[in-house]
Amino acid sequence: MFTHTPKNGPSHPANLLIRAAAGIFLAFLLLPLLALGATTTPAELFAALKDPLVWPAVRISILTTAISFAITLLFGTPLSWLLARSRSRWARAFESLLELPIVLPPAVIGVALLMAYGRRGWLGGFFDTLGWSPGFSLSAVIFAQLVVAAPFFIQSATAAFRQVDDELLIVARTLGASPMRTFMRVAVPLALPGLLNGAALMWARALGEFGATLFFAGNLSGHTQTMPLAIYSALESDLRVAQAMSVLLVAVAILLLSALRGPIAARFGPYRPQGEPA
Amino acid sequence: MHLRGRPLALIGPNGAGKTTCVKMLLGIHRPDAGRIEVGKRVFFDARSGVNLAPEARRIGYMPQNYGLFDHMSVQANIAFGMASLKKSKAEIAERVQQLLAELDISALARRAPASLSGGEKQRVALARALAIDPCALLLDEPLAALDRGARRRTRDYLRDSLDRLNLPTLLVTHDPADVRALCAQVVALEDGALIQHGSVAELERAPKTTFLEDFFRPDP
Repeated sequence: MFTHTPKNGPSHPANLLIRAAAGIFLAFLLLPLLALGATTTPAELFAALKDPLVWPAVRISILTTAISFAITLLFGTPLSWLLARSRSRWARAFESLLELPIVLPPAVIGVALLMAYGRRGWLGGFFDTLGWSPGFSLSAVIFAQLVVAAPFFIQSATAAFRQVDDELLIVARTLGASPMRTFMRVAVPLALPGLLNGAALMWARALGEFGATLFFAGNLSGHTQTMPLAIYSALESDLRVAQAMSVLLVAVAILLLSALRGPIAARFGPYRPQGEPA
Repeated sequence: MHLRGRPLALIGPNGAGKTTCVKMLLGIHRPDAGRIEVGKRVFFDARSGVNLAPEARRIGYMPQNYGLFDHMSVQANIAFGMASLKKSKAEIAERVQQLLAELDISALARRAPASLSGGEKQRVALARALAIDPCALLLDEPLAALDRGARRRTRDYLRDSLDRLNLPTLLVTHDPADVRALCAQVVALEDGALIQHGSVAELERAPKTTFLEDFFRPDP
């Protein structure tokens, strides 16, 4: 006869240790977000948001991220499709290269942008002849956001397109659909969760872009100062303003991520007739 | 391969080239040589350089797992081909209702494909293929995804449907029961080459390879 001690019981020492460790780590990660809101009052926040630094920065952030978002979707979607369907070595190489901006320090990307598109950069002369200098301008902010954030979308979209069952695309073609119609009516809807996810990540990353923007676009209030840059400037003068803008950014981020993953995903998700469980 | 009368079975071991053959007929792969035609329509001719795109061939294709579009309802699936052919909304709706009735799946019209049984999916896939008024049918292992009982029932149903439709039909299958029940002629491929062709009876009587021997050996 043996007595059986359950090793997986919740009160077993190993289990308690794991839960304690997990709890401490979770608290450590979430505490800063909580502290952001908990150490101030709505009245203080509203007052701080009236600082002249704030609304130009909000305007620039919204405008630039909207444009980067649109450009990424417009050009990134066909690129991701081609990368996903191609079997050539070049496609594999490009896919790997596109992972670089994701892992490189943004400061590095800022320098790289200067070397490529800056006044004294590779294409500097070419842009000069067009009478245009992208560096230290709104275009520069968009450039920086694109280089840093678009790869997030492309990675997610490529994986999503890759998962679309080839057989379905073949069936669509046999049913009379042109390659374009097959893409729009079958491939995109089926890849949509990945596309939306990538779009959300891309937008979030673009909104938070700091390092590359600072180096390539500069921190010019009212011209290239996005919200992250404004927060940086505010830290030196008024911590409350920095805090207020941070809370604003968190609120907007939560709103947009919920929208992208909630109502929008439901509208474009798999077909579900009224009354059937999700 | 010549299809005439009752469906032609395409059989062969894995890797024989059945899938490649199917893809060539559909226009997905381009053959190196030869000619593909249905009735008077030439789909491919190596010599004259004719190579019709898949969307122009109007072959009713049913892939192995039915390939239903999960992001659309059953009736939207069936309507998909007609919408591509630029028919009016009224025409499409009418034809969809007609097909639903013919295949006895009217109750499934607004259902999600993912919620259907194997047999139901097969009927929807068939309806969808028929909606484009195809000149020929190509069925890839139409019963493989079904369990035994469903397979028997659906086989009978399929035989009646194919008889009624009277379209040139190519049926790819691993199952001798399918061949015996549904097909009149057989083409056997092995290692990319045509090994034997003829009526089911002929191949049963005198199979040329071990694979064919095993294939047509009656169940103990």
